[in-house]
Amino acid sequence: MSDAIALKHVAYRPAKEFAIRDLSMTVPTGAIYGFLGPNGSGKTTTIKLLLGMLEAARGVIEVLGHTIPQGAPQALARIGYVPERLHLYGSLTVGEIMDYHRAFYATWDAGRAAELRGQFSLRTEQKIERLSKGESGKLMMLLALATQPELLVLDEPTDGLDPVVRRDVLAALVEYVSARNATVLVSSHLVHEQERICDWVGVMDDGALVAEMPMHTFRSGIKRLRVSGAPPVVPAAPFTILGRTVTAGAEKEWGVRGWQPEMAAWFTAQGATLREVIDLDLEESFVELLSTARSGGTA
Amino acid sequence: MFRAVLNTQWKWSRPIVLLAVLVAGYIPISALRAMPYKSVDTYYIPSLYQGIIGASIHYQLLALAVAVVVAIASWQADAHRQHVYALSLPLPRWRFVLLRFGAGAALLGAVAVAVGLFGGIAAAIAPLPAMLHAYPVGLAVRFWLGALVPFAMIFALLASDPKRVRIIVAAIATIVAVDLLLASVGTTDKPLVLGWILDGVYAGSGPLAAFLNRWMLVDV
Repeated sequence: MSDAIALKHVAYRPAKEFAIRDLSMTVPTGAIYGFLGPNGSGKTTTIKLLLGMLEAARGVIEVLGHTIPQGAPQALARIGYVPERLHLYGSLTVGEIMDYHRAFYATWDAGRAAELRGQFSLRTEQKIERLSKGESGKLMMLLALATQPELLVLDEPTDGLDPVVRRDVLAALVEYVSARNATVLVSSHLVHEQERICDWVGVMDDGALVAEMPMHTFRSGIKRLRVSGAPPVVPAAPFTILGRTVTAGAEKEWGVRGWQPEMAAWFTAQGATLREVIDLDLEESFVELLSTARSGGTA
Repeated sequence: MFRAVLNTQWKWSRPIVLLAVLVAGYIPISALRAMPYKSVDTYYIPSLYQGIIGASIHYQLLALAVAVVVAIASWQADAHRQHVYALSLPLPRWRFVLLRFGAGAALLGAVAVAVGLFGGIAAAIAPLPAMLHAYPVGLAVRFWLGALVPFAMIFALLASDPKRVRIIVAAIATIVAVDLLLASVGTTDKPLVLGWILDGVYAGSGPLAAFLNRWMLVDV
């Protein structure tokens, strides 16, 4: 499978206190890639880099086969972009912005745009500056989908939306992706939402990608183990130890990645007892991964 | 694509363009009112000429005002959203800038057409003495080209990175302040840098030299 997005050793420093350092990430074609990370971790900056809005100081960025930023116009013609905040001209109406947007895209589907407008209950004469947050989100999604993109780049598309609007937006997205087999990069810090729709996940923290893997690996691979009798220093394990914390008495909780049930025998060999294997949901896995990355552990 | 950009800029600049068209209609009426209706008496020529010279300044002020406002309106909506929408559109940046510039120039052209049209009508109605002739087309072209220069300057400034603009403006302000300070304490006879800038901009072949010449609707 080829890659819709590939970043190799990208560096960018927008401010003294923050930098993207040696970022490499890959979004396979056809994937719905959940781009996770806390606020300020660099997700939006990365998205702006891959859309050619910002220029990397170092590294290679390829999107849909085009090198960015040189090939950005050609790539952008095949991308639907929904930014985290409303970016459209407030003084225009919904109808006017649809006409304006259409002028720049040869692939604009007027029928689909009208259909989505009806589905989202947007009126052509509504002024953009008077739209609610939910209506603004729907309008941006409409503009992105009506261009029939091969790649959708969505930056916190449902952040701040009420559950009903969020459901409408996600339904339109899922419907489009299933019909067109498009690739989606969706950034969010709403972990539960990503869990429902994504098949790949990348976790960003403090300007670096701390993990990137298929969603099922991420969901099943990270566990919390309750262990007793383990020596203070343990030899190399068949899984990755993310962190160890003392709970009650000599019992410790281990955060681990790459866990398989047959690895339980390793504890016996160390003279330790594996008391319990706790399944983590995506949010807990995410938090475990981030806390490990921040404490300098191996993620 | 150009029509879409022109439509948005028309929407943002509409009030000032319409106002400019009205003013363009008023200026020649005001200038030629010195000529009584159906009179060709040469007695009125000096006062008529004074009126025409006054109108020249009004045309220049109108060109400058409409150019500045149209330039600001060209970028205001994009600047308000940090240019994110413009940057996400699938065309090279230079082409988008050219579209915006072209739309602004077209709107200034509309005002210039009004200047020529109303000037021509006013000159046709006013009974001009035989030695004087109306040049409404020449005035309209001069108005348009004259307005394009400040428009281009403000447009370029606003299209630039705000940080760079702040640095440029701060640097110019610092140089001018030091220059004025030195002149005030008597180190130099007159502000050297400021004088040089003004000479460069206005005099001879400077970009704003057109504003020092007369924009005459009626001349010999």
